Amino acid sequence: MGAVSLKGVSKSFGAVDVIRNVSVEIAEGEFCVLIGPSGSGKSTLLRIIAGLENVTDGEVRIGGRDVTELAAKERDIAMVFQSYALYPQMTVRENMSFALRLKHRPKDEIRRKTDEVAQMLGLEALLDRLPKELSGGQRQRVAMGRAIVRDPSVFLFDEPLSNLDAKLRTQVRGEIRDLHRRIGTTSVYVTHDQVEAMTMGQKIVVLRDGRVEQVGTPLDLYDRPDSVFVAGFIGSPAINMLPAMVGPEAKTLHTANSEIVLPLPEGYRLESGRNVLIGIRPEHLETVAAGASGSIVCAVDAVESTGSDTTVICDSPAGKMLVSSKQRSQARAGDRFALRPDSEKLLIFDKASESRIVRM
Amino acid sequence: MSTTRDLPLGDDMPQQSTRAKRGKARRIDWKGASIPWLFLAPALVIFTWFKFYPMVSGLTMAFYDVQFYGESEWVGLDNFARAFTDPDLRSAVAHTLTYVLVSTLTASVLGFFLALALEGQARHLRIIRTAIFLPAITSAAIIAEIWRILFNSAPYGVVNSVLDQFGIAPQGFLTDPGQALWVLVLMQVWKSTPYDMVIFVAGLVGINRELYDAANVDGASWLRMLWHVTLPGIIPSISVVIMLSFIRGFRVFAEVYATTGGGPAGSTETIMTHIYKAGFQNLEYGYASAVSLLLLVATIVLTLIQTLVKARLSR
Repeated sequence: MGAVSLKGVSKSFGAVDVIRNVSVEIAEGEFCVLIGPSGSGKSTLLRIIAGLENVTDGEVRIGGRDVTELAAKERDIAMVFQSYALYPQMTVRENMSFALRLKHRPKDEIRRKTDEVAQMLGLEALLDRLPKELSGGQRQRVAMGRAIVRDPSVFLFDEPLSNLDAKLRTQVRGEIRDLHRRIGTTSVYVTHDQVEAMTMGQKIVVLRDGRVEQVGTPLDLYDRPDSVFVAGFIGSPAINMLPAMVGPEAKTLHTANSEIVLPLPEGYRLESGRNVLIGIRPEHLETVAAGASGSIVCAVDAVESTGSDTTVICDSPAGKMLVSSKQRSQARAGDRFALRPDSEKLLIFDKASESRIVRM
Repeated sequence: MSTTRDLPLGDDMPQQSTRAKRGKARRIDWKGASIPWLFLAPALVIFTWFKFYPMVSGLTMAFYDVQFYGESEWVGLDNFARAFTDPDLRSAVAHTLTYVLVSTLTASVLGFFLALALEGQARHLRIIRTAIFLPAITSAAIIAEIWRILFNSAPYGVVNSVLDQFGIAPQGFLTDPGQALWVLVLMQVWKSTPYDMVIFVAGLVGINRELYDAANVDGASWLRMLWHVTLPGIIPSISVVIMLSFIRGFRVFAEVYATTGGGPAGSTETIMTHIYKAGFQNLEYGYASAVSLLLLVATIVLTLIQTLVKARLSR
């Protein structure tokens, strides 16, 4: 097993800087998720760890060993690809044992290891089938089996669930989590799906434009996002952001272009007149009687219900707002009601730098 | 709930209108159906006259001793029997097989490696690919003429002059019965390689790049990747290249006729030049048609074999 360490890693394709001075420490046995929007460089960073891309600058260490200049095959890693990348002409057994055969391992050992992993993943009955004879979920498991058979120091996953339907995705997500718990190998997992990141990662690295935006545990990122970007990227439904100004005596927040006045929570040292952004998670809004202090009057635009959760999309004087609840809503489009945010849970960001203002 | 109440109404409306339209369409069916045929008619007439009629006519001629100024005589399978015993045809088949097998194999291997070298979207690669493709679109007559100039057997011939620099005596090339066929094979390789390359490039583009990454991570060498990823990925392209090359090779005529005319001493006679001579020089139309028909059957059989092999290879 091995810890992964990236120090000042940069990567450019011609004049385009794709990765900019990224430093990340992934502890041995940790499950780390790299997340970011399209073009943020998360897949490139994973490929750099894998040795499929060279760095322009910086250092990559796996298990304390400097692997920056080493080829992929010398890094003792295994990778699960988005398309699964199973060799189409090889059977499941041949696919799973390919790396061991290339290493000229004894036939007995290859057979034993392949059988063990196939049993672990429930693939015994499929060993003689070709990839085209498997379903999406089975292919995904074979791809994982191929990685596990090699017993590598680090597992790398490149959006491995993106080709599966929603139900299967949830199932395989659980399987990967269980496998990690059982095997305990350091894993780096790339995804753009924040639900995957939140539910699987012990550590999440949020990337934006090739830079690390924030590193932390899932709940750290949710409760204490460093920036407006992280606050907006983590959480579904997305956080509400209201532009506002700190009121006189720094006791209130006055939203821009509207008459809404919210109390400024204790512990913030803000000067009057400072422009800020107020972040309110959809579940931190409650319905109150119209006219209550610190309330925002809204009109319902739409109601989205998944059965277990309900999200009400409303128009407020400060813009579109989302409210979420575990309770069913009887609201209809056009209904008017008042919302009050839980002031203790407000997140306040500096408008100019978009970074979160820390509460004392 | 209102949407569910609306649905039946919404569904009924189009059904009625479709029914009405169907009734109307039935009335104008004949008129409507004749319009496409009217558009097709000119092409059909021309094709029937110049293509389908000669094809059927050629087919029937194979069973006759064709006479130009009298009644053609039915000879049954005599023309075919003669084809199987004709030593000239046998040697033409041998030449054609050599020509096809060697040129197909060489051109496809060269085309494959050229495709590997020139695959990609870089501008310079596109320019080189276009330049290399030129022989494939050059007329056979022009290539034949260039080849005659290059391989002129005189000491001042281009290739002979180069050989002279290395102290090698002038070669007969197209005038030497032992060399002429190989010079023609070389010409075919030169003409086919870029053609094959383009098909391979198209095939390579279709290979999932992640397979190379997976093989790389698995520890495969360049050769292993070629064997386990590239070749299985381009089986459809290999199949197309071989099939087209075989069909093209067995029907080769212009390149041979314009270069050597089947000579010297019949050393470059191919099936098509043999058919041409039997038909248009010796005026043995029946026999020429019978050999043509056999060539067609052989081509169909080859195509079937190739399809079976491809299906087996791609499992």
